[in-house]
Amino acid sequence: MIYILQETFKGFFKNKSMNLITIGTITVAIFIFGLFIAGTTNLLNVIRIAEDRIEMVVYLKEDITKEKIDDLQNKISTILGVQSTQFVSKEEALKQFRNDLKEDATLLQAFETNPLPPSIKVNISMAFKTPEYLKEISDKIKIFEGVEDIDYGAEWIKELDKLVKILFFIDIFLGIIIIFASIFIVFNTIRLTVYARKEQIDIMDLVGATETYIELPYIIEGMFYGFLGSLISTFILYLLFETISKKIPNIIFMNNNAVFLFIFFGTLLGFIGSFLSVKQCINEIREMKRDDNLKRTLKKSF
Amino acid sequence: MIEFRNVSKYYKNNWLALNKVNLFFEKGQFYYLIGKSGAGKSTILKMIYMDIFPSEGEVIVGNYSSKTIKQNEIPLLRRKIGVIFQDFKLLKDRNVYDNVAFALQVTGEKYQNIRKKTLEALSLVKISHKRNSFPYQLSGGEQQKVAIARALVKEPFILIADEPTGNVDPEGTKDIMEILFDINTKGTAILMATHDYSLIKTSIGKVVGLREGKIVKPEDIFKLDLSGGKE
Repeated sequence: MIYILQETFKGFFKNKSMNLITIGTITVAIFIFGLFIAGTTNLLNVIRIAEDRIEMVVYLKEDITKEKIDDLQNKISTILGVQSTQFVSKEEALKQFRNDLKEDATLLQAFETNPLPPSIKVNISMAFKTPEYLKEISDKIKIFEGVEDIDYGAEWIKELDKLVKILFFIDIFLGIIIIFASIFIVFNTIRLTVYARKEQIDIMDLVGATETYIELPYIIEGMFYGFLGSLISTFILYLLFETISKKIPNIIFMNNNAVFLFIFFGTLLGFIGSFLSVKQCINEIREMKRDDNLKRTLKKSF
Repeated sequence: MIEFRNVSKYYKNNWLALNKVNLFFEKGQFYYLIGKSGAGKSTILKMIYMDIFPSEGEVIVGNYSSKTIKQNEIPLLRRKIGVIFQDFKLLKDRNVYDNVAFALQVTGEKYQNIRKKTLEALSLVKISHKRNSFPYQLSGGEQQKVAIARALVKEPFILIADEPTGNVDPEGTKDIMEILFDINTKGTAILMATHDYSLIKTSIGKVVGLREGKIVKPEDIFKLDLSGGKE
């Protein structure tokens, strides 16, 4: 074990500039990925706040009676996804409208009568605030007697939904690119390291070193690149978010679990890259050695 | 201990390197494997440490057979076989001590045993005084001594030497041969491939002749090669 660690660090310090480029590239790649993940998380957060405010307003006919209103409220309350209902009378609606308008409330004086219809505010459970469910609930309410119109910002919700989907798509797409790029760069760096130590591998084969002893130092080296790259990029992301959060207070950085997962993810990429590289290179080196020996033998005999 | 049963080896383009070879190497003996370059000497040596496998027939080394050995058993077999080459195969970035200790480090030897075993092997080949030198600071003969120490440090039952004196001056050659004889008297079998017939001391070892992949009488090789010119 001591040997394996010694070899790993020897490899790490021997080829400094190449290793720095590798770590740098992984850092940048994972940083970009992290930036998008953090961006998505924050946008999702904003969307969640927005969705929280989604409410359904059922406008009622002007001449509706008190009994009908109670009956309607009961009926609406039994629909799946409805949390609670609240009746808003014409007068209350006008008062609210006046409050919303503030100084412009004088505009209302142009109306001789109250133009606002009575309504029922319907609170929807969080899980049912999707365009599909909202439409379903609205369709059920529409057929009730005394209902004039229903408003729940259908278009606006659809747009939000679309935006979330696009963001997820970009995240996944970017994630795949970052995964391949990181694996590729580790693959190539380890390849150079392995080839630089071709003779050493040859001797290890000769004296009876097991595959573990031959391969592990390179695999650990690759994991170390991934680990360092993701650690540095997470740190830069943290600093960036600290700075931004001073200006935009509601912004959130990854939580501890996500940070841990992120670094684990980087290390895993390093592992995959170096593992694939080592397996391929060592076989190539062995093949080359055999071909080389064969050529030498053939040359001698003819 | 080591047995070749009807072993043939074809390389690419159906080139026949060994042709139905039957051989038996006993414990603790000294063997010379002689023949021209390309006669199949290296092929035989590589088959013993299972770097290459027969196309036909079977090679048996200790408890392992070329037919049944598993990939993960090959390192275990090689720990019991020491190998040295004409080009020494030392690691240029390590000193003499580290080159020898390397064989123990990479085979999982206990840390506390490495120093003792390494120093013992170095003293056996009389190179202890140069343990801090790097390969480029040594003569060919000295480098080969380091390679022998590295092969011996794992206490193999046989030492395979492929043209061990090919890159060594006459003085060094004498030293190397003495060391090989010395190791042999301590119980390790030696199998030395060479085309330098002047090294052969028939009083000490047995001679196996090889021509065009076939076992022949050593006398035939001596006669033919000596009358036919160099080698």
